[in-house]
Amino acid sequence: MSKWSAMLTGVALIGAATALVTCGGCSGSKKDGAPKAGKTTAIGTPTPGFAGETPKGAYKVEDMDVGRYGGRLVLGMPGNPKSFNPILANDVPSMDIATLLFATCYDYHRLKQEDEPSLCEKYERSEDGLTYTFTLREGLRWSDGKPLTTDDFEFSYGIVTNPDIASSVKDLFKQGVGADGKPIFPTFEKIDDRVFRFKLTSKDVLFHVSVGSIYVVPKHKWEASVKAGEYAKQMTIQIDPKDLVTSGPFVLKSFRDAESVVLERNPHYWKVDRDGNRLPYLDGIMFLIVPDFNATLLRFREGKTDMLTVRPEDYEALKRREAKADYVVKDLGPSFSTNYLMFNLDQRSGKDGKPFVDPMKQKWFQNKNFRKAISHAIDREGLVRTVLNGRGQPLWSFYSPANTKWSAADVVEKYPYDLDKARAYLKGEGFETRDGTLYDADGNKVEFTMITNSENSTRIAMLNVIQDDLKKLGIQAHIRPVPFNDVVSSIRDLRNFDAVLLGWGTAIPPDPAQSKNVMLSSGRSHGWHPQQEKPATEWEARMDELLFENIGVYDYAERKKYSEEMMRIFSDQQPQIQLVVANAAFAARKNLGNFKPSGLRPELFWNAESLYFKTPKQR
Amino acid sequence: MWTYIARRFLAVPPLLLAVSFLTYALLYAAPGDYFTRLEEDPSVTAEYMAQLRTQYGLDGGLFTRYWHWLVNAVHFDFGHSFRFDVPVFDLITERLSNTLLLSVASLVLAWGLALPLGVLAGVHQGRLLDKVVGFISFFGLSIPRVFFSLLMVMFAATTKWFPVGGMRDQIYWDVMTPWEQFVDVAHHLVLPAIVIGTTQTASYMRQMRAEMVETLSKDFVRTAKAKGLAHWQVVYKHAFGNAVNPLITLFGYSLAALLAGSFLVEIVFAWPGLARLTVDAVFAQDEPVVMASVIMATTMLVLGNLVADLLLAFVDPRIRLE
Repeated sequence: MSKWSAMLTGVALIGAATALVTCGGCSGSKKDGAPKAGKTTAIGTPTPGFAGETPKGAYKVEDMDVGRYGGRLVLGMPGNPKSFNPILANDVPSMDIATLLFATCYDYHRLKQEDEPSLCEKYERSEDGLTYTFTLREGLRWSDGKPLTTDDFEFSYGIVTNPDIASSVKDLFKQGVGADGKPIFPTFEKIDDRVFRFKLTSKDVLFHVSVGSIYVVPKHKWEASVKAGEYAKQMTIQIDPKDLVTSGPFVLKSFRDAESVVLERNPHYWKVDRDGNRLPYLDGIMFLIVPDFNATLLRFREGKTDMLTVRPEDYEALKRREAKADYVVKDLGPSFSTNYLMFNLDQRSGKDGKPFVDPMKQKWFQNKNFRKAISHAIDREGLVRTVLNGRGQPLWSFYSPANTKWSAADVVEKYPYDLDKARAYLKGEGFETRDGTLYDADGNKVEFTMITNSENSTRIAMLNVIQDDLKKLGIQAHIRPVPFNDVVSSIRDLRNFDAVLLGWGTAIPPDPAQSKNVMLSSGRSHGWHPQQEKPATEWEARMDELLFENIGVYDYAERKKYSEEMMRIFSDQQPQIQLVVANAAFAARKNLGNFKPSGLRPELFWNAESLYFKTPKQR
Repeated sequence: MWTYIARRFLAVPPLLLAVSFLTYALLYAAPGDYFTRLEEDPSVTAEYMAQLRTQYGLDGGLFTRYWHWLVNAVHFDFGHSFRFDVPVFDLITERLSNTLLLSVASLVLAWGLALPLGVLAGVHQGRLLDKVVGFISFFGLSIPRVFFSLLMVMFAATTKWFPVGGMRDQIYWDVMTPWEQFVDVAHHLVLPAIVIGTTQTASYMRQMRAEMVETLSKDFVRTAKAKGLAHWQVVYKHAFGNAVNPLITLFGYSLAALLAGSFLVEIVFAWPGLARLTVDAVFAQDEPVVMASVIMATTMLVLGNLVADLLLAFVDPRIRLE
């Protein structure tokens, strides 16, 4: 076998050399040195070069063009990464950089929206769903050349489940609480250097995803620190780059506080392109830390950076100049971030014995038809036009239409802007309009307050439009923007709000199992009435059942059936009135190959190992 | 003189104690804490949040937490930043030099322009030069700093004469000679220093002009003129020496503002400074960083005032510090 691989490498090298020579001869006559379709091998010289042989079990990237080696990609980043420790990272810049430095056992393809193998080439699930056997690729190495084995996985799993280390991934593995009051975790069993097995105590459809969310860290580097209880203080921004041993496409070259993060090719990376050329193509990536968005935009337009996340307000201007400029703007359609308006349906009382919500108002909010009337009265098209600069669309389901597997956009009930329908719903419930003001059946004036976080001007603008819309029904809705932390404590602890406008981001993968906290009546983020001991309403009980059904089977069609019924109930009840979803757009130099942004993080460089410059980049 | 300085220093510890407790109490009273922002993620659990809060010592009452901070601070241990998990002291010293570089440059620019222009305007009161200077100072005082910063960034981007931000060339820095590095930083320094300097220049210039006008109408100036002294001697030796006194106090205050005056400019020009770190820390409720910055800013204020008083005593023989 080794002879074969040596020969193959030799062939690849000769191929590369020929390509170089040919190109050297023709560079003057050819306008564009970009590899043509059907070309067999990547051109250019990687600096720094690769080390050792191509791993035998290398992952072949089939769905990307064959590129060219060389060049450094420059990107803007709004803030410093807080840490290079992939297991502890909990802020966006750190997590984005972690995806470039570290790899996991299983990954999620950001465009196809399906699972894909990563460090592990496959996994097997036993018939009863309680045993998972994972197999690592052959010939994997850390960036320092040491072999990457089952021991590293066991070590990383140990960190994630360590009671003294705060890891957000830990909860994915908890399978209930044992008799001793400690959480029960699946047991890890090493079979050999490449094969390991987990034994579960109860079924978990997304177990491979949980395993896929553990970033593997090198045991030979950090074992001592874990034993000393010092792991949480490792891989900080003060680390010597040489000590940051990685398994992702890049390694850290330098970090300058509040200025830049520079990454360089990992010489032992384990992916190849479809012709068998080793990846990544890029020699390195530089992140410039630019806190101001206008300055970031300017840098992109100046050509100082190569890629940009386009804000809705900047889209038009960039697109207009696109034809003359050296960049392309890609509109991805709806993003994964949704916006909703939610009433407080919590009928409980606070410690002082007073109900969280005035019983008079609670009576309206509890009324399903009242919520439906509000939903019909909101002009979502108007929201898109005025607040999102026309770049977005109305949202009807809990999941954005960007979520191709679970969106359920076709089966849910829709609430187009229709004041007559809204009035009919209200009339049916005994509401009455007198002198342009709406009164309930008991003669109370309908008036409530909507809050949102004051840092987000888009959300405040949405509330302004909604306030106007509701005025047409005779409803007096007040707007109160408060700091984000106040919003959170209102929803989590104080429960003292009438209505709130907020949004959801997305977990990866965007699977119903990840929305347990929101959908289950016992969930913490079940914001309209959180942490119920038992479901307060029949429909909430039914949603709980459906979610458990959904995460109790493996078959997608069956899971989808449960999920769609859940979404139908959700849209019929309108506990969260879904509003709009903004479009996502990204821009990059025309010179950048394999530019295929995704709505899921890291949007611009989830395929960093395949990005390349079509013609050599100046400086 | 020395007893005066000693007395001023003795007053510092109680002041720092009061300032630090007030800051801590305000941070404590603010809703939520550093970890609250994690709640936006639908998959975050209560156990994870509780563990983080225990680990970072956010679970005690105000007095317990403040006492804990105080004991460490007295030993010059300002703790670890919540955000970066590195010692606050390292974090701050790295940024401090960058901010000082920027603010000292703008300070030199501001005073270097304000004194001569102010004097000239005062001497040529009512004439064209005075009007030009007046226009410049009104412009400097009225233009919002953010807008001016963005304008300058636009200027840099269109003319390409200056870099659009940052403190150095990130690409070639490592291969530059020390001299080239010096020139590079200076090149990056020009625009942000102008933005900060303009406002300061404007206000000091107004002050200088007013003092000058007032002094020139004083009796001793008339006497000096009557004695037949040369015009330049009257203006620059007698009048200027007297007119500059109040500005020395101002200079002391501007020393105190060295650390905090450049926040907006640091953001727009992506300058890796301390003000940006502090304000980010306030918004993120990164308590250890906020506390350390406040202590440092207070110390600077006290020192700045002391320097101003000493300078005043030095230039004005009528003032005696007891």
